[in-house]
Amino acid sequence: MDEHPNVALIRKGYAAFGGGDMATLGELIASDVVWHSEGNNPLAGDYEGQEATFGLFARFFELSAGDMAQDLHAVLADDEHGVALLKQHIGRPDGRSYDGNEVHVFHLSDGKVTEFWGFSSDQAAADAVLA
Amino acid sequence: MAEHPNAAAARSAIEAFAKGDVATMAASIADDATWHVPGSNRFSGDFKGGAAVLGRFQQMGEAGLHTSIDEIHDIVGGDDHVVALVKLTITAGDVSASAGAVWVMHVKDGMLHDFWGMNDNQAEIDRVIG
Repeated sequence: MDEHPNVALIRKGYAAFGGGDMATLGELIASDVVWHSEGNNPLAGDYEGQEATFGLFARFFELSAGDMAQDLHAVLADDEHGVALLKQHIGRPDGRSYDGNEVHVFHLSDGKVTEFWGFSSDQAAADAVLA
Repeated sequence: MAEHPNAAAARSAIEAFAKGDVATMAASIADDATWHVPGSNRFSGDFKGGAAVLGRFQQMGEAGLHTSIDEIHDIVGGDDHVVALVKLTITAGDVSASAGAVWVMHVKDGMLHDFWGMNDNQAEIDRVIG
């Protein structure tokens, strides 16, 4: 079966995130996006709006000093949702690191991400690295 | 776009589970299935083989645990994977915990092979299941 056009949108978003291409992310993420950052760590919470969400991304880049990678395993989509299955790596300058399988769920509308939820197979490990 | 056939297969199994139609659900689970169940409760862990997967469902019922599917929000399918977005409630006697869950499945020829579950309220679910 042909891949849903929203799959390409999600892949484009991960490529932009990996390359720090905020201009492209700005086109893909709705201005009124709601970004749910899971877990029990200082970055967890609900971020409302593109500016707050980009602030969250900046904190991830700062905490990891750029040692962050996302290895996409599969991307699925239909008319309303995109789902990415990936291996997420986050390293900290003090030597702590997290490598976990994650599921990222995107709510899509008119070719933009309007809401995000992330799930980790090992949230406790992610929390320990982000603490 | 029409629903991917793998999504339709998973939807049929999940709808059967939601209705308590164990026979239909069981017929969708492959003999070599492995269920990766999250959390740190007595029913967490890896269950290998269709018999072990179905045995776990049966044992949960015998332990007085009931899983209700409150909403099948969406089921997104691709050629190898299906992801179901569901809301569920686990009840044990007079205590319960609800969660938004994502279920990732390997689906081939209409059969469910591997399953990984994740949810946004694991600690409460662990407490209810024990």
